[in-house]
Amino acid sequence: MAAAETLAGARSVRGARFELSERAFAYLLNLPAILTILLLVAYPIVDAFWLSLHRYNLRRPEAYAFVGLQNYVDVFTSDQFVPSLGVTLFFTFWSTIGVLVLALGMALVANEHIPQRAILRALILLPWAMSGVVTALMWKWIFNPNSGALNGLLYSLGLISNYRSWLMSPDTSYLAIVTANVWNTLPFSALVLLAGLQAIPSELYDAAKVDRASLWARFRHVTLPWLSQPILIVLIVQALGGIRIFDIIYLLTGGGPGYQTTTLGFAAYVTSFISTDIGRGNAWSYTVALLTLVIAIFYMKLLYGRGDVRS
Amino acid sequence: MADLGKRMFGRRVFVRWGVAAGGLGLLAACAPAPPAAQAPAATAPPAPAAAKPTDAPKPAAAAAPTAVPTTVSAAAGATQATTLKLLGWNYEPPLVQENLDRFVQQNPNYKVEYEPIAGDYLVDLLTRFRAKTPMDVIYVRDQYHASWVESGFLQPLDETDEINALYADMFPYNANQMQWKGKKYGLPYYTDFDVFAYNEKMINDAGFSAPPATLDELRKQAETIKQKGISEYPLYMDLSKGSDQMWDYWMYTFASGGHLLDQAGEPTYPDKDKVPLAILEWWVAAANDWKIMNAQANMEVPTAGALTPLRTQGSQAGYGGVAFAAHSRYDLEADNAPERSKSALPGKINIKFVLFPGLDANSPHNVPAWNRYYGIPSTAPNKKGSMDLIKYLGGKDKSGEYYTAKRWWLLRALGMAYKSPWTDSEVVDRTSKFITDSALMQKANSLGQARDGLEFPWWTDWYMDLQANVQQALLKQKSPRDALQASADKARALKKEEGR
Repeated sequence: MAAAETLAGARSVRGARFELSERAFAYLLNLPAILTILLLVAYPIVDAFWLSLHRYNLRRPEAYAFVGLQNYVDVFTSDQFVPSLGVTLFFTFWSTIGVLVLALGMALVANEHIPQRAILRALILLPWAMSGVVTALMWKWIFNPNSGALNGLLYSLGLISNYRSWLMSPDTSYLAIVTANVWNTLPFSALVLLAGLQAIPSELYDAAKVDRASLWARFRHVTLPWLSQPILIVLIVQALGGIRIFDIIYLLTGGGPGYQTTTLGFAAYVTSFISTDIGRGNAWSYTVALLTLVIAIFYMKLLYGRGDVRS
Repeated sequence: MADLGKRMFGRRVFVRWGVAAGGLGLLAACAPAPPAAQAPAATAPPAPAAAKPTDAPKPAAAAAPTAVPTTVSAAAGATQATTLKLLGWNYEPPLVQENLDRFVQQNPNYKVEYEPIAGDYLVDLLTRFRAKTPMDVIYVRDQYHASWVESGFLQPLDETDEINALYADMFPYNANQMQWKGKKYGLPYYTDFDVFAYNEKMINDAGFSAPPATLDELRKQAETIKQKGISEYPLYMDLSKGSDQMWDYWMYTFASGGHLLDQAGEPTYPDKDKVPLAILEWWVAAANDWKIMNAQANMEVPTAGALTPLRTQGSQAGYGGVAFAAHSRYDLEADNAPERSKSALPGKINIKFVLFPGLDANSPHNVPAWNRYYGIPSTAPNKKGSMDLIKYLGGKDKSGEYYTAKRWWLLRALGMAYKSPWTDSEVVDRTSKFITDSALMQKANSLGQARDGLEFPWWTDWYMDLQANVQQALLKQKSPRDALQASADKARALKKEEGR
């Protein structure tokens, strides 16, 4: 406080020509950051929305025209919309479940006092260091129908009689993309849950043991309640990431076979960059953003509505 | 307080130094360009003696052949030289650079700034057109031609006697492709067509002395190869989705005399023209009943750098992963190069081609062909410079030779759109290294035709939807008729929407 008064005083003495209020001075200091955000974030967002209200295909730029919400009507009535929404939700649901279960298991193991625990924790983090694109390319080789490691392993174990295509089989394409996504996003979630586990007071476990609580009962009545907030964070991050998924789909399946793995995000990409229909592509993107927003609000209400975390 | 004062002082010093550095940078940026180090040759020297097209020309002074983007100048620092900008997709930039080096040697009044585009060429160019970015010469794919001309992105060539003479020496398909409403829009980079390739050793070992001429014969040979254990799936097709994928559907349809769209963009399948349906039914049976191709594996987008199935190692020397595959003619060169193909046999042409098999013996064996050309964008600031560069790259050099066209054929087997160079002894000699029957090649060349409907702006949307429907039919999620009907409905909807 004393330092602040000294600063204000110094400013009024040194800046005798113009007086600035504390609030104005704060805004002035933040101005560069605000301008940067307006230029790099706000402007593109607003411009993208404006474009989504126009007929604008780069192949026919002369046909540029304001069409109101027609692009949104076209998206929602498109025969691709419902299937893409279904694929997106399916992918998001199973990715989130997969990550949550596996991350919880990994966090519980990494939280135990086992030898070389530091190495184990570093290994858990390793996939997180790889970008989505690199991960997808790696899995593309693993799933390769002619020389992939997965085929080689299963064939040598006698579990399959012929090499097969995992990415283009209607039975396994979902599983393949969910697996790749789970592998890539698992470490962050494991880290969050591990941090949550380390915050649980050991006295609670000691007390439960005194009460002769079983392992399951300790997990159910001590661990899980204390992990509810980290779990919610994991759910939010995974769900939002799942809805926006693009790189893994683009590199592994290209949305196929047929439209089987075409998500909303991939449809937005195809419309914008393959069909070069910028107007409708932005309408697809805003639809994804809208869905993301709805889910984010839902989770936020869950997270902040509990009273444990204050906004 | 003292600490605070130090921190504030530190920040202020930092800001002052930052502002000072920025100001200096700004001053430097605003400063006039330094004068050229050397005066250029005032007039163009005589053209250098014709080099062998396979030799790299001597690099121009101070040029960095592999730097991207690169500026080439014959006389380093030439003050009067006009800079031309060439944009193209990212195919063999060093060879392009060598060609440009030669252009600058022959035309020292020009510099050429070459920018190979590694990402999505179409999106990149469309964005530049929109931004009115100055460019002098660009690569153009035939599928962009109509819409780019109609949108005013390209400008016509000056129709001089020289240009007309070049057009007169082209194959009709190529000359026609680069025109629109009576005007000429480019000179050819390269052209090619698809061929039906087969592994001669594999079919001979299966007991056949000649390649298949019809799809029935193809089925018989493939089934025999499979039964004899020579290959599990003898037939390969590209069944992947993408704006430039699944050409096989065009090949098989054209070879049997079919079409997909008429000139008005109306789908002719599945009833008016029955060939596309017959082809798809044949494909579905090949994948699911006869099991001569692995449709699911073939739907995967090929991994960059991986060997094609025709070139992978089979069960013995000279065998590939598959015995039959359709691909570009220029692929035959790599197919038969032992360092690039594991099914190649040293000293022998093992991968050959045949006229594309059709549904019956009377099939016309047509194939899809394509043209890539050099065009002049409407934003080109210096039309004369663009014309000079385009005449060199897509026509003849100053020694009167089709230098770059011939060089691309000799080095990379990219087809030439001109008729006369095919009789050149070097060309004939090079061709014989991977094609046994050059007369058959010229016949196949004459059967090339453009894919239907490329001029329609909705073409890509329709084509990718067609691919998805074909995949669904192959997976038996839809009947072939339902799949094609759905695709035809989509084409009509897109067409209707375009007219809205």
